[in-house]
Amino acid sequence: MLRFAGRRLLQAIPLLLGIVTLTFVVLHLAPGDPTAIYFNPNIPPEVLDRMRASMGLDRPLHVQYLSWVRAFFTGDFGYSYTGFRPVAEVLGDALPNTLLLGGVSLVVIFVVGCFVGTVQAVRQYGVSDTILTVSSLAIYSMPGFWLGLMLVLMVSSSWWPDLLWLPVSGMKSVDHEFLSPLGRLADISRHLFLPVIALGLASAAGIARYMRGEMLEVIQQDYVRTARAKGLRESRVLIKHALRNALIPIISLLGLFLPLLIGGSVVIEVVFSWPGMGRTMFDAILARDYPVVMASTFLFGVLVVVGNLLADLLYAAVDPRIRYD
Amino acid sequence: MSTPLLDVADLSTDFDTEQGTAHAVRGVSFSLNPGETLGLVGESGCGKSVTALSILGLLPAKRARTLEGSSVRFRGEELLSATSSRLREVRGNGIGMVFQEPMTSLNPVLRVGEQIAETIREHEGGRNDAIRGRVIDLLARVGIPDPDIRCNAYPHQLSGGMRQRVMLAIALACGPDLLIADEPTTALDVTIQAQILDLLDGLRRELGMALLLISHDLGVVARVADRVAVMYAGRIVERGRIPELFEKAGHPYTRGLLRAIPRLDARPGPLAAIPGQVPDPHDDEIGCPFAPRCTEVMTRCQTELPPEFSSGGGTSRCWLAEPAD
Repeated sequence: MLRFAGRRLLQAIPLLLGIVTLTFVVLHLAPGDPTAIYFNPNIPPEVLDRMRASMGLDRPLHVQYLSWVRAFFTGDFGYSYTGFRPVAEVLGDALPNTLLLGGVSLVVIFVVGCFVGTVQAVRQYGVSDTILTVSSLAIYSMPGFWLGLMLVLMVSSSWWPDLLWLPVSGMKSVDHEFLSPLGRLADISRHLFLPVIALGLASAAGIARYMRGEMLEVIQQDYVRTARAKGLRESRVLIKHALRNALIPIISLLGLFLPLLIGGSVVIEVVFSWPGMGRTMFDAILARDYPVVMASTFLFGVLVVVGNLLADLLYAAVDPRIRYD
Repeated sequence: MSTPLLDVADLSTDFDTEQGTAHAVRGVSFSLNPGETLGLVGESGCGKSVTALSILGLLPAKRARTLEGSSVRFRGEELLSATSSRLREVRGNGIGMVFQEPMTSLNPVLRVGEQIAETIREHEGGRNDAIRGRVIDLLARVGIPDPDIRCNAYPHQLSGGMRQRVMLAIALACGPDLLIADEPTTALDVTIQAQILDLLDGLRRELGMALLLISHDLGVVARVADRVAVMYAGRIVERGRIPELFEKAGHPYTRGLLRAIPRLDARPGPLAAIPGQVPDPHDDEIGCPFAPRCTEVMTRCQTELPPEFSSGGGTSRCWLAEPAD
């Protein structure tokens, strides 16, 4: 299994190199460069030229490209043009926050999705199934950023005064540092609430659709009939025998949902001012902060590769028929 | 005579299908005494499996229903109107069941030992090491070598014959009074078939169970059954004790089945097949259902369904068996 993991990580190198190359090309195809944010017309062109030179942008493109490839292998992406800090530090601050938001969302997506899908399958064509089918389709069709904005609007307006305690931006309250450890946890959880809903609801609805189909198929299998013939109670038949088998294909979806989650996090972090990688990247793209853009796309690529690898390993852990050696 | 262990009376089961209502079982009656073996024989689609599943209420409740007037009594207790929790107590405990497909009847993601153990845990409970001891004992009893190692195996690591032995161990786990075996050998190689059949018969003797053996193969049934009931189009058309039935079957269908058994001492040549097709279970029954395929058909057969006439120690649902008065 270790050899499998190692091989997969080696295979990821050309992929990540491709990501870096593509990002470089797209960045340089787009109009404007890092000096564009200094739009003050009083800055003389020589100064802007000197700024460009200091960023190494006066060098020929292929030299610039090769220096990125070197950065790719050494992991040293240099300094942020706008933050005047090492890129590693900028992303090092943002990564845990993104992992927190993404991780919690992932868990919520799968738990809610699988639960809803199972309920629907058990009550197939019943009233609850119909209601959940219609609502999950509606939710699935909502773009995350729109849902996020609507949540912000609903919670922060006076429509529902009861919801005013739910924060709509940031990750910590002003008094966060003065709270007890448990209080800090509660504080962060409160801040997580809306972003997780905005980020995960559509995906959870998607998972529920898959789960419903899987469960309906598994329930008809011979081994579920065997479980009933043993006289097991229905809850055990469903959870121990049906659910476990239905989850196997769902786990492989994990890898598919990961890029979606990361792409979504860029938008959601901006909407909810979450201090994560998505927002960092968004700001960096607007400011043409090349080092941060290059490094964050690279890091997102790594996250997707590692996440997919984890999904594959998890697959083998749940299904004894699958072995990697 | 004591009360029968299992008494099925006038059992009718309908299915809702897209083409309308299918009458899979149309008024089947039979009874089984303790320790006795009854073979239920017929070609695919004649309703023999549905009969077996109806006894334990294992048919999908959404599409299948047993009709009013049907009765299944086990040790004198009506099962069709039993509560689901009472039915669960009977399943796996009073009545064990073995299915046709050992490949799909075991849960692929659970160790076989656990699949046996959970039956015992559900019905009798007990300490884990005691249950494990019983599981190993059961596996040894059904002829699995190295049972203490094999109980940790997953189904895919066992051969078809071994899996069927595991199914048998599950069915026998709580010492049932009745074992229903639905085509237990059909999916197996011929040599394994004989082994499983002998094992089944040996265990029945040893444990003093009754056995309801369902098969399309008269040869299989003849090997172990005391009595045989032949089903056609949802009805029992002939019943009798084993040697008599083979010698002087009253129903042309039974005679056709007997002619279709390949024999080593017969002259080489094609086997005698029964021409025509099984009637559509959606159609209403007019006259004898076998009439369109019968070589000895009479005008009366087209319009009147024959009752069961006693014939040579058994019964025969054929006008030919009508006693001349």
